[in-house]
Amino acid sequence: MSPPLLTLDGVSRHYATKPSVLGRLLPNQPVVRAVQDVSLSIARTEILGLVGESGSGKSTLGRVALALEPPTAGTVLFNGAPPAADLPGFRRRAQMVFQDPQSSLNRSLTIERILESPLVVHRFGNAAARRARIAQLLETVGLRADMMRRYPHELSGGQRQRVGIARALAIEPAFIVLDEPTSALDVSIQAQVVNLLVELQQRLSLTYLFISHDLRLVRWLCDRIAVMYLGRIVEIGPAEALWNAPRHPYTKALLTAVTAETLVPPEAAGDVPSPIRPPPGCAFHPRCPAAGPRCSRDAPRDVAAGDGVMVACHLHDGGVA
Amino acid sequence: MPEMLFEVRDLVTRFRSEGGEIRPSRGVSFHIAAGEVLGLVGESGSGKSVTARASVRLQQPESATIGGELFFRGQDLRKLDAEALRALRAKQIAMVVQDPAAALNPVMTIGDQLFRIHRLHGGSESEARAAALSLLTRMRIAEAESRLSAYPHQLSGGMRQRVLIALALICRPSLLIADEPTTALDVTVEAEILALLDELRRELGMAMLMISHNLSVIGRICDRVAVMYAGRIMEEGPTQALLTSPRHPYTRALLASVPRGTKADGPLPAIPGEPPDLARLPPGCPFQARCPGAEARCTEDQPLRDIAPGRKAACWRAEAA
Repeated sequence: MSPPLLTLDGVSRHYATKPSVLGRLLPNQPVVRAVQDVSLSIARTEILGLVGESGSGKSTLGRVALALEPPTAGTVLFNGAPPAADLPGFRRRAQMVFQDPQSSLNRSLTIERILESPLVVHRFGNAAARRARIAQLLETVGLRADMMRRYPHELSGGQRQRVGIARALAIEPAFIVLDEPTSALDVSIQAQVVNLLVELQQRLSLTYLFISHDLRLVRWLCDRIAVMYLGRIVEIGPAEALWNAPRHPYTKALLTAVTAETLVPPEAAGDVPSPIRPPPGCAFHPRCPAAGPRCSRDAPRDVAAGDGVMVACHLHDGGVA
Repeated sequence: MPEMLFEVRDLVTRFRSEGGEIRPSRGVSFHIAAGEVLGLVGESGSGKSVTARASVRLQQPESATIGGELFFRGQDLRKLDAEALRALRAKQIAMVVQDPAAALNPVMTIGDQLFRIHRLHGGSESEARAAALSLLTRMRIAEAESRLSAYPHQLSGGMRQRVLIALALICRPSLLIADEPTTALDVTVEAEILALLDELRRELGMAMLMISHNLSVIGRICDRVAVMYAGRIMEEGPTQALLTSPRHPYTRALLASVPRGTKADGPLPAIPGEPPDLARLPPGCPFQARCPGAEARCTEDQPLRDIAPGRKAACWRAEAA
């Protein structure tokens, strides 16, 4: 087996909260533990899905994986080396597609200027070569070359996201983090964009970290799935193994919530707690239907649960009593 | 036969925009019996939200004009003056919107907002307090008593949406218009709130017009569904029948584009192209440009007509399906 393209080892990312005037005088500022001790790796040409709800830390993890933010603890390795070892080289190889192309594309620039910018930054050819590359990129993402004269607001949501994908592809990266790339789109347009992402991944041998709150979409697209809850990965494994036999009660709750055809009693009660004060022990225990005394006391460790699945739950590690 | 509560006939809304006259509702008719839940499903720009608001004479934008007939318990809403209309809406028709942050008063406590509405309907302060507490508890708001003195910004998004539903239900309306009430929430929270909303709705015998882009939400909570596209109802029928054997090509395409398996099953069946520009609609069926079965006669208007007991569709091929 070839070494992984990307490895995260014990990665945490904490933020200081904005202190109030009084708060600044006090020690122990509250800290948002957006990502807490995450280890995972992504193989070359693999699509790893990262699923979680708001506040789970999935977007932060994506930004740390792209070295857009430094980890508070832990290491990131790309091709076996830290991104900082050759940051310009890393930026050429690792790109991002954002959720909302409306706000991630500069509205005062034409599509041509938007797509030219990464080519200029990475010193791609002369003006004529760049122009030819832009036309080719537009075609790659299923847009007509004459779109380059338009402005973002003249495009539909689906077309704008295709431009966002073209921008990420401009300098031929190996690895792309896609952060909710279709959640602003209607389902019929989402299908077009997802099909394009699969086609590009296969044709260009790309590796994706696909971040989404939509378990059904992630199952459709991804080889493996990691489920995040309040900064931690609670379950990770092959997509079909998670879909057919979710081990973690939170994964089960997510799955029931998206597949139920009737109003079944929910498997997770209440709202997601704040990542500033995550519950002690297992962070899911206040909402968990299977929680026992151990769950509010000890943090669960990652254990192998068969079929290549790792799960962090006491149910699979000696019980909750 | 349950009592007919609400009947909308040939509703037309129009307003001027930069691109020309827009008609988000182009002859929409539907009815809701007492205690019944009708879903209005459609993608962005289909006109579902404007239609639902206009049906109770809430213009959006304010410059919009409304045509057609709107009967609530046999009373023509278009003949009511502003005062009578406000009184009717306050007592009988409540609304829950997607964004509770915008719908709640930021400078009033949760309790004051609930008491104020309750008092509009007579009754003492202690009755108002008891009713508010009981509803908040029913919506599974922990420590309901202390939440009464909280301001909206002190609550999580899921909590605010629970409060908003409590506000809508405190006067025991006979019709609730719910416009994407759970779209902004995480799926596990959505599952719980939908179940609670349905439970309370049954107790109160309340009818509901549920607006959503989410077919799975519609499928779980609605008795009947109307599918909108470009200002028209394309298909209507009992929920299970419509979702399992859709007759309109648009409904079929919409249902098919939801991911159900894995990418190994082949590309997602996307709907080609984009929804039409509402300022430049072609004559006839608005779906013709994207329809796999379109023929010359689709340029003629397709009225919504009965195709089977309880089922309607606006397509001349609907019986053939």
